[in-house]
Amino acid sequence: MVNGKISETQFVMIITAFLQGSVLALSFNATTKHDTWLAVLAGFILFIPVTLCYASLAKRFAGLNLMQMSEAILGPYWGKGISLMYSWFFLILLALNVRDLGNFYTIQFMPETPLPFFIIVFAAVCAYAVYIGIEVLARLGVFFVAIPFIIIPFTSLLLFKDMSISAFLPIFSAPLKEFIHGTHIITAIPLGETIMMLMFIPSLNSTERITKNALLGLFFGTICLLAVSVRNTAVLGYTEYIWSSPSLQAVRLIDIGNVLTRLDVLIGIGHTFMMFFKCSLLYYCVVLSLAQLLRLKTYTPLILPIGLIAITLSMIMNASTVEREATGDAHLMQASLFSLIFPPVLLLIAKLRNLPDKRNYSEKSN
Amino acid sequence: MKKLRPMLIIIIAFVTLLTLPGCWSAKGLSSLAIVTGIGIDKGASLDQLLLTIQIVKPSQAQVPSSEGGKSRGKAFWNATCAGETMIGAIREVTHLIGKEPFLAHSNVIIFGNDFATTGVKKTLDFFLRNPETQPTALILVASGRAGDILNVESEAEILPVQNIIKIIKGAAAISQFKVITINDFTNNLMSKTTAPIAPLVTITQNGNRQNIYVSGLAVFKKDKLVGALNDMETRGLLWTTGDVKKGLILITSPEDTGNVAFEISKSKSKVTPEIKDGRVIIHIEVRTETNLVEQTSADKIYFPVVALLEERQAEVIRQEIMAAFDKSAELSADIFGFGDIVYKNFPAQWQSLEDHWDEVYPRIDLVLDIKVTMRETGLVTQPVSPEK
Amino acid sequence: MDIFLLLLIYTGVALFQVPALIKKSYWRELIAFSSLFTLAFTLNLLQILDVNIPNPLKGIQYIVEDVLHLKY
Repeated sequence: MVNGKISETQFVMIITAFLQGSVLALSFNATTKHDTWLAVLAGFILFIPVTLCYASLAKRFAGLNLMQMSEAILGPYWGKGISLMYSWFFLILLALNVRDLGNFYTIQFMPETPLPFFIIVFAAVCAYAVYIGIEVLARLGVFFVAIPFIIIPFTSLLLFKDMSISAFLPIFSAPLKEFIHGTHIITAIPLGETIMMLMFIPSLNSTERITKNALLGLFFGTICLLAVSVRNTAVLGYTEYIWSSPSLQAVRLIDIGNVLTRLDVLIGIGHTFMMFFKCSLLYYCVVLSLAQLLRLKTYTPLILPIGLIAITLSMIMNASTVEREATGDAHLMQASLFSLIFPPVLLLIAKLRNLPDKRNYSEKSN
Repeated sequence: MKKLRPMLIIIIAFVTLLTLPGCWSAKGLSSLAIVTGIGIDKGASLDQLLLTIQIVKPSQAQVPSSEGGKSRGKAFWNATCAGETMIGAIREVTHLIGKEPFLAHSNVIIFGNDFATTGVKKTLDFFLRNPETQPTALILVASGRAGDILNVESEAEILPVQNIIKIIKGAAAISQFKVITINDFTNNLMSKTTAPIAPLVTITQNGNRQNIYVSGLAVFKKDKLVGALNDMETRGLLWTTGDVKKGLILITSPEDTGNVAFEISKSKSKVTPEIKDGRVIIHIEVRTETNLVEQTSADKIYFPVVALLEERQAEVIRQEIMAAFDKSAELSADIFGFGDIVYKNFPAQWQSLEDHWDEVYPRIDLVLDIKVTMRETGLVTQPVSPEK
Repeated sequence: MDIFLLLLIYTGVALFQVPALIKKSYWRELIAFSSLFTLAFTLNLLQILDVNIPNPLKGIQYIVEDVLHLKY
């Protein structure tokens, strides 16, 4: 049911752009304060083996996506169960991300507009993106990747005079428990969401160099996360962790000769684009996974209802910022389960059961 | 379905046109009261804040295109409102004039003297949370009431607030004071030991006309105003933080017959902490380059004298820094940020020092290492005097 | 008013999708669409009627915190 093919460069772009979209998520770094950049680095290093695991799964089951893999590994019943759980997980991710963007708008830019407006319009645009297919998004991947790569250096340059190295001292002062917590958050949530890449395997041209491509995407994406984290810490110093959007606050401080001021709109634009990309991909994952589960011929009819459910879910999960903090652990553990625990376990079982067997294994989707 | 398509597209386009331009939060200029400055004083009762808000009248604020000498009305007016919280007080303005206050241009926040002594933290929260206020707004402390400062009109500028901004930035440019923004102030507040500072503004009377000038640097402890530094002490602080960019150093001439003035062209400072035997020692290193700009005596300036001149300049700097430190020790306020510097370099020892930093701070040993290099002497190389 | 808007949107969505599905005889898809559609409609309706729908994350939080004690 998926027609187009994604080239290798496009695959790298997809992963990079996806990770860049997670910059908004860096706002919950209250645990590690000025050592957040270290947590990002640590998270990156810890996540490399996980990425290798994803790639290994992809290589083993060439041409199969996550749903099909789990059915192959665990058999029809357990496999479908796991697939269903993943669909649910992607749905929650979609709802959370859409809600994050909506929150970003209502808090910073247009406080009087009711939240549903942003969520509905945004979800509608993502729905359209899913409708026209993943290949189009992949082709535009380069464009999306370029946006943060322009905005981040530009703002960093303008903020250069406001940065101070001493904001990073003392290095590694956060207590170990906090640091582990912070690293865990980074690994499971921004980085871990790249599990969605396993849904695109069937669309890839070839899975030969997928390990290299996945790692490359991870690398480029993390560089952006690192750059943002470093810039924000250097500029904001002590106050970094009280802001709900540190990037925005840092950029608000730009004041070059009284001419270049109020550049926070750049952050708004950047976030919008990247969250759009990220949400479209997540949306695609939900729709595709459900369609596969139900053995449908095409995933198109599911787009709208799932969008509506996601919108409703966003609104439910959005009672208040405080509630969001309270449920942080839930999301963390859930994300860890799906991104960090399930895939290696699946790989292990696959290795033990020596799958796939070398018999001719055709794609299950007809 | 095919037939419906164009219709559907038109409907969607129409709906999009109506909703997407974001008309919801749009505010027309005439319905806004543009606030350029906010002064906060203590209100009548204990919990009350008295706000003086300077609102611009856009029509009057435009520069007249012709030199007509026609008298303009005042381009602003100060509204006063009271309330228990910042937001309550500001909203009261809407009662007064029926326009909603628009804060995005508020560039100056002035704390009244009385108010500052009771603690300013509670009002800062408003400025941080509100998406309209800019973190680059300047913070000042008035030596009297904030409302009076906002009333001072000047010849040069249409709005008092613009006048204030110009004066502050001007003073900062010749390194007499530091420009403090909301961001800086908040940063200082969030640190456990650093004492926030802000320029202190006073009104001068010159015959009929009033003007304001920056009379010192207000020192806060946590968020309460505790004292002020005068010119000399302020410069001492600026030497240490490396904020001195231009300015004058005045010394007596080598043969004590007059004064010699030097213009600072460049200055760098380095602060290094050291902990020895449980005592905190701060090394302050200042490297300055100056140019000779005026000499009121007829002494000749030749090579061996240069060393003496540089030594005297260094002495001036030393005194300024010591004066600043002594004053801050007297107020027990760590304006230099030494606490933070110790924390950043010796996090382990900091744990034991942190709690009684107030006692440790006055007993810090300062080791000053000041070197002044004299460079140019202007257009003449020797003073005007008949050859002896 | 809100309910009217809700009905409008959902009828629009149905009108948009259903004829296309029926024409192509995508019965399975129609069933899937209808079930999800009904679910979405119910949830949305409950929301508009101010019925408090429990936040799934809260449920997960409960499991994580009280049952598994996996809190930081």
